[in-house]
Amino acid sequence: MDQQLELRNHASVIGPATDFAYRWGLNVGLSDDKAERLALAVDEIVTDVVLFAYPGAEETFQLTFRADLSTAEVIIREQGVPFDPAEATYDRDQTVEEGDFNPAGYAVVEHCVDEVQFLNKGTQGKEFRLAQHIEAEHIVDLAPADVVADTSVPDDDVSYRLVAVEPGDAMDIATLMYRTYGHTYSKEDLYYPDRIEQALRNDEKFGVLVRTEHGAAVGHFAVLRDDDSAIGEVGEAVVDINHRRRGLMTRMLEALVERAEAEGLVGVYGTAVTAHEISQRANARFDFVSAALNLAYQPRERFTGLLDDYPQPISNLIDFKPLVPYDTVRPHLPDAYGPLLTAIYEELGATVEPPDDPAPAPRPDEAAIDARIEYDFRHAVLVVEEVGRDVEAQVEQTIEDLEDTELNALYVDLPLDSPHTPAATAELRDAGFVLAGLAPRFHREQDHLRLQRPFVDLDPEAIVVYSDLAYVLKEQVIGELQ
Amino acid sequence: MTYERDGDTLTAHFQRDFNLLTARHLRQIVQEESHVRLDLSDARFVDTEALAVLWELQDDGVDVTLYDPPELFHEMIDELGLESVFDVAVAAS
Repeated sequence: MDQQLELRNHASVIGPATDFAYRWGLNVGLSDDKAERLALAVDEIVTDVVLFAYPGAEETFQLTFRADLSTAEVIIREQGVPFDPAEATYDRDQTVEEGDFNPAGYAVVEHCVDEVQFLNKGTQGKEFRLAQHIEAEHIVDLAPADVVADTSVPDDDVSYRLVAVEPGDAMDIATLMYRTYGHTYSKEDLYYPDRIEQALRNDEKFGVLVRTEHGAAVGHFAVLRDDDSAIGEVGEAVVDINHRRRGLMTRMLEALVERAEAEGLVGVYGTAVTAHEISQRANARFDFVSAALNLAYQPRERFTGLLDDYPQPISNLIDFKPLVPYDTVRPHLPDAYGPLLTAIYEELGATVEPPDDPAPAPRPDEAAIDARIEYDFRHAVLVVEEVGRDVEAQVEQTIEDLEDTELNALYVDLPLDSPHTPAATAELRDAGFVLAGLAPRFHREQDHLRLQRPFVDLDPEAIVVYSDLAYVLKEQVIGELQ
Repeated sequence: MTYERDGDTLTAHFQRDFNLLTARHLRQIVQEESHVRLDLSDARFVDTEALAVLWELQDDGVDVTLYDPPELFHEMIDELGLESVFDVAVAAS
């Protein structure tokens, strides 16, 4: 959940803003050293905003604090006078000679945090993004070697019990993940007990654990709540190799879905890799519907030892399962994607009818776009909240601003309840974007059209899909790319 | 920030960040002193606005000594290549 501060451009806000950044950093898991560095970086940027962004005027600017288990990010947004940090190059001799330390501030920021991004959003202002990677201790460094290496075979008549995961189970889960997958599991948070515990304490996820009658943890499955919608990603699935083929995965998923419904989630989804079809088969077996194909979603290197020979970044399928049934929907579908999106909707159980806006409001001049940069996954998602006329210009500017990040792909989510989405889709297609698919209920519980632009060459043959719908999706996406 | 004067020496103690506000405060309280001693042992960090004020004081002919600045300060001036610009002492007396 994002934390927001709105501040006046007054020097008195600098101390409280940096104090908040420091305390917040500690709370999301940064070490004291990293939290201090983040605080100094925030101090430098906020001071610049206070001093230079609004000469002679009293205005406000915003700080957004956003964290997941591995990254803490502070976003500073302002709409003051134009500024480009690339032109404020630090010159040591000039600083010593003239005493102008302003360019030094940005050099300090770059030194203090792991990632710095400057996004020029045109008339929407500017964003400074400061991110720190959250360090934690790996399970291999915490657990005794014989525990993580345990491969004892159970009796045939061993009995199991499913329990809701508690923060105190973090060590058992990390041990189970490592014992089962070695280093090959892509979501590395699962190897860090502190991160698991923190996510559970913060209610960022919930899960089930299978224990034997002797108390050993042999299975785990979880739902990770999304930040901006009442949906969750199912994942972290693991069954000890000696306890497979006993129906544990099915029992865990059933328990999870039941819990998710009780928690009020409107849907759950899995992101299945397309390097093979194993995960996709499992999702299909539990009635998940392939709704979108995200090209180059994550680097191959995240699957240490498992996909070493895979030739390219991993593309993923979004497999979605509605928990609140779809009824009749009236989305604003772009003509080019109408039939395919309708097919996805129907697979999800929806009846698609034409939108019935009597007289849509004129398209606003300015778009509102929230950029979500997944540094570890080398992709970004731009969530379009207002489909203004400058969507394409803002997207292109963001791509230019993120050039140094070396993203593999960028996704744009357009709200299907906006009458302006078809026009924006046409503009983005002209700019080289292609379909990814439907992002069901992904933001504010609303359906979004996901477009994408990969920045790497991809071999279509290496993208393996399982379901009929996924096959059609792949044909469409690859066809557009070519 | 607290401070005391002793002849031509002003000694200031920082209990928190040495930032824009505290740097402005320091600039205001330095009057005719020719020596300024800054105890930074409790400071979390020293930002570039503070460095600018330190540079100004030195440019005005004030002898400035920083005592026990935080580790991040050393890293920062090293990164900026300013090690020789500021006089740093290990322990406040």
